[in-house]
Amino acid sequence: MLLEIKNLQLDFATPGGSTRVLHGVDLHVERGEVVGLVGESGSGKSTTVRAALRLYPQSASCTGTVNVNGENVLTCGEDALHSVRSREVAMIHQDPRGSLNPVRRIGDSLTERLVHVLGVDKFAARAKGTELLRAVGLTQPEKRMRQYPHEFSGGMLQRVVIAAALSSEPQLILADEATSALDVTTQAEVLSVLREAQRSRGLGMLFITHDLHLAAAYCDRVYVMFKGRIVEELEGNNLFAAAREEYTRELLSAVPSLKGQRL
Amino acid sequence: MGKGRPAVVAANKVSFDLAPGESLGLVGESGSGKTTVARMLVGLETPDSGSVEIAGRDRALNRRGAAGRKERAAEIQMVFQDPYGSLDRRLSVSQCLGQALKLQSPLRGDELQRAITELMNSVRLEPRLLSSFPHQLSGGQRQRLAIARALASSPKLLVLDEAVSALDVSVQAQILQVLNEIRAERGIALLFVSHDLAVIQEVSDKVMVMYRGDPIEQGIVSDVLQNPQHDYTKLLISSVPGLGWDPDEVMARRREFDLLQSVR
Repeated sequence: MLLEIKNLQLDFATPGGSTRVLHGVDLHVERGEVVGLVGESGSGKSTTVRAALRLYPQSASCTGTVNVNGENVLTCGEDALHSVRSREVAMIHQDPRGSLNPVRRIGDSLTERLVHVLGVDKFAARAKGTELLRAVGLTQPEKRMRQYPHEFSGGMLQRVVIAAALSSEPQLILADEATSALDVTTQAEVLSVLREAQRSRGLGMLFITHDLHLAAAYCDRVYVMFKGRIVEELEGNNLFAAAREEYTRELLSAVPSLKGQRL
Repeated sequence: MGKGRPAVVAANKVSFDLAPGESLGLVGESGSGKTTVARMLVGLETPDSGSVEIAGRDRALNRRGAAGRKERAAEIQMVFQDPYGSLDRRLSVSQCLGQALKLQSPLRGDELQRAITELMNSVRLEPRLLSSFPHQLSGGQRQRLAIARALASSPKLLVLDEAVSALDVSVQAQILQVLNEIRAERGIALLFVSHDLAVIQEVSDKVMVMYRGDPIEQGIVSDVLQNPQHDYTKLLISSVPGLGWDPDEVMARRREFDLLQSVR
């Protein structure tokens, strides 16, 4: 089991006492599996995913277990946590400009993990970086390595972030609306690259999205979250047909679909 | 443009007409020129040539001076993707709407309050939010406020640039409903820029597909979606996730299409 979250409860400290944001979340991701997490804003999707890397304020209190590759992230030591964050898991956020240092060249950001975490030699790292940029569909990768983030469009930057996430060959990718800002053809291109990594080396993915058609088409399993709870778990290709919970059905009915598109 | 580079034609020979209450969707990938078209209409970019007529009166696009801009603002308003960036965070909801209203008409006191309440009603913002500030509002509420502010000048045309792209589906559905009501009740025409075909279909009668600055296909939404003529439109429609969608297949088709374009 790659990622296993059991009975995760999270309370944020607020001036008027504490507020519970996660009410006992259970989910798991197997090796080579793409798992979707859907729900409206504020339902706790991002909080759950961030908790998998112990990314929450120190004042928050968290109970339950989060196992990444058998290591309990919530209780393990700093070294083990560092290894989980830098090697085993990569996270992709929605806004690529927030993940890249604006005054560093793309190539430096891209090879950072390889050089500093995995100890790969600089030249080898650059060669691999260039290769990854080509794999995510960027033209003239050698030139791109020397450019700065402001010279890129949002779609191009997101592909850089995805290339950077794949660079250290993580076992698990946490994608928080990673392709939501991309147009449909670019989105397909990026997802195809991720799927290749999933097939070839058993990469697992936890995939937050608000596009339910995408979740249905791309994910093996989909969890539906509402108010800090997982309310339903469905097979991706059965998402629209098999939903039983009232909340899931409401959410599905809010989705605009192309006419002629079968649900 | 600039630095000795050859000039880029970002939007080329774009033509369309809109009746009151009618809505045109503008779709295309990033860099296709759809946002440039929207920005030209509200005066954020200056076109090299072309004209715009509103209600039969010529409205030169490159007008200078405060009076000219104000006159255009009374007829064309824009709503952006990120309301947090386009709202003044030091103004409460009522201040924000009050200011926008006063720009166009000398309303005061009760009259002004009534006009503010009416604007809030038309986008279904609860009256209790009157004294809230942008950071206290949810994403959906902020976008409603941005729409209400745009409506303050009673424009004839509302330009929306990816206005619902950042919102989750249930909130998105509510905003689309509000837009359709505005269209029906106030007769305001919409230019709806989006990369999402499914959303355009919900809120538009007509659609224009742009590719690398050129409008390549234009028509009634259902006609274009069900019977696309241009290869790019076909590619775009098949890229939308749905049953039987396969990213590898879309990518292969995209490569094939780009190859064909480069040969031409």
